Amino acid sequence: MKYFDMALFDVDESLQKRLGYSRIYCSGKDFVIQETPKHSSSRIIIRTQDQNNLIRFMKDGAVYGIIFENFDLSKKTIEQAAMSRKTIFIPVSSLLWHSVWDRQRELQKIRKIVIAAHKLKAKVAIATFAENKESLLSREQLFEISKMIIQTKNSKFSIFGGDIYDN
Amino acid sequence: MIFTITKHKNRYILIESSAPFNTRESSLSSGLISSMHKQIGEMGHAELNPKIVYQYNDSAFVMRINRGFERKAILALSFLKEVNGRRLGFYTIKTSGTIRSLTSYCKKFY
Repeated sequence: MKYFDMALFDVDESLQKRLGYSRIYCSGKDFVIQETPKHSSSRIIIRTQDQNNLIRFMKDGAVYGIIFENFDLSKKTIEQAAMSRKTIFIPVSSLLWHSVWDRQRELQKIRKIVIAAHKLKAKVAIATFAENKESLLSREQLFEISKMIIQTKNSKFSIFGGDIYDN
Repeated sequence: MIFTITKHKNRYILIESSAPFNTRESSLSSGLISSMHKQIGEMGHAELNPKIVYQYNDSAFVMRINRGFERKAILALSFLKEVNGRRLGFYTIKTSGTIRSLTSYCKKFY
């Protein structure tokens, strides 16, 4: 199975291999993060706090997925993501810099979203979206964090996998 | 009461830091262990019993922990972002039962 990650800076190839990924996609080169979808040759990922805008932009064919800010996502948005087959990305790097209590609160929010997305059959993917080298994580670490989000023993969720870029 | 003595088994984790980190300096290695202690608490520390046993190069080193608690160690290292006031990131590259297999892995990838 191949594993991928997404970062906001270019990670050298030897480090990508050591971290256990087939490839770490770079923002600006392989994908772009925008608030409103503008014309771009690479895949567009929408990052906005406005839920109405998220729902509106998901109808755009050029949009590949959405990143939810502040870990808040309404059921309506998840439904729209499932209908339009857009991926919901969970940015992990922001979690790493929180205090313990804040982190637990954010994890609870993520858990609720992932469970709702699973029920509605929406695609969910976990990625670091690291801004710097300190925020990067290896495959093992990302795998353990995804396990921490879904703590159930007989979980059928697979939010971590190689299907992030499969069409 | 009869005590049965079982062989104590360890696991070794190959860790890479985002910046040069020489664990031969005692202040850095103890700083890392105490930062981990803050993350996992007293109980977790007793379970893991982490110790830095081998430095491969400027940034890669090997940590020894008790077998069965690898998951806890990996998570603690993921959330550990500061040692002695220095901003650092730690990546767990590989987990193994022997140091020898980790050094052969290092020779391949470093």
